[in-house]
Amino acid sequence: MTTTVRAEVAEYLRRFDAVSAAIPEPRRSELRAEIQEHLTDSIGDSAGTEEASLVILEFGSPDEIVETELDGASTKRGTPRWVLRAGAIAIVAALVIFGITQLPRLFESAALAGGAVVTAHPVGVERVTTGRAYAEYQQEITKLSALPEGSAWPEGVPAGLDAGATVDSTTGEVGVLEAGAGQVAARFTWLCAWENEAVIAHDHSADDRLVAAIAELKAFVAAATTESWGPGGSWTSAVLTPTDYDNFGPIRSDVAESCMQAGITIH
Amino acid sequence: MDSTTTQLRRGVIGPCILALLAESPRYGLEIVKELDAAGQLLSSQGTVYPLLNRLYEAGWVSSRWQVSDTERPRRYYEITTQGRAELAAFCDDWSRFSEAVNELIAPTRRRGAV
Repeated sequence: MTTTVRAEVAEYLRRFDAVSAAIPEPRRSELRAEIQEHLTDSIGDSAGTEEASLVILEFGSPDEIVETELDGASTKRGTPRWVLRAGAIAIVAALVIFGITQLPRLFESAALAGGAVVTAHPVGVERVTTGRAYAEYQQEITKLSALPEGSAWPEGVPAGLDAGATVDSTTGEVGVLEAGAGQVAARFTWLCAWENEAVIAHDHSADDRLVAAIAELKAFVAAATTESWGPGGSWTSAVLTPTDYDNFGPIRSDVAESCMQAGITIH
Repeated sequence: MDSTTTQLRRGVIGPCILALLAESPRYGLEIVKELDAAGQLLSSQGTVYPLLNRLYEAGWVSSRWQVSDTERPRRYYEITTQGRAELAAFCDDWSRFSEAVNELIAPTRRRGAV
């Protein structure tokens, strides 16, 4: 969708750009996009200059927003997915780069497929087979255990994950993505596959498959190198442990998110 | 605004946002309007986005873009299972905390000193 940015909003964004350099990408672009949407929505198309100025005044100064953002970044509380989210944000940034019109298919509420969703050519974002992120992905998949029967590692990683400078096609902003996004993509792909396998097995009362899937996920937790994904981590307690009590609600919800983080759409 | 109020606001704004999201998913502008209506809990409206990001990083909310033919794309936030657990824990803490504070300040309020 093409929208015309009001002069007041453009000026605010210019002020934000001037004071927000300390916010790392892609978070900075993400925050900027939310600010633009909020102000555009709040002001509307027909408001006069005075009304627009009042809205912007109530919104707060860019300095205050940047200060709040950086204050939160320096005093992070338990961030269960911090290490993986660094790359997950990069994946989300890649999705934005492809244009907002692509997002409905990626974020729509999905009923799980009856079969494997992780395939050589999964439904989802565009993938590439060159670049640093792809090399990271290739290396990481050799470290992970095999995917469920019927699944296959996607050929390529979501485009736009290479470390270094990148240009947001929506805003034209030049940002910097950190390395490691390819590894993150591999791990979320693995998780997407095995969480989906566990839910399908549960739904079909396929006990052998279910036991195997849960064992794989527990092994993943046991081998985790970060606290958030380890035995005492929040993902384990919130998503995996409930399966021991036949509560598959959390893992069913988590499948869509894991697959989304891997750039895979499930229907 | 004095520092005591600022500190109080900082302590409760996250759980208040979680409480709104526990009812239903919302996008930023909706959350701002409801917080303002409840009592201007935000120091300024724009700070809701860094706050939402903190909740996201903590794993207490998830987000998704919603696109329609008639409206601009909007980023909706919704509470996670962990977020609900965190909110429940806060509600317990707040109940004990507010009772204790109310008990302590009750004599002062009865005297009309405030």
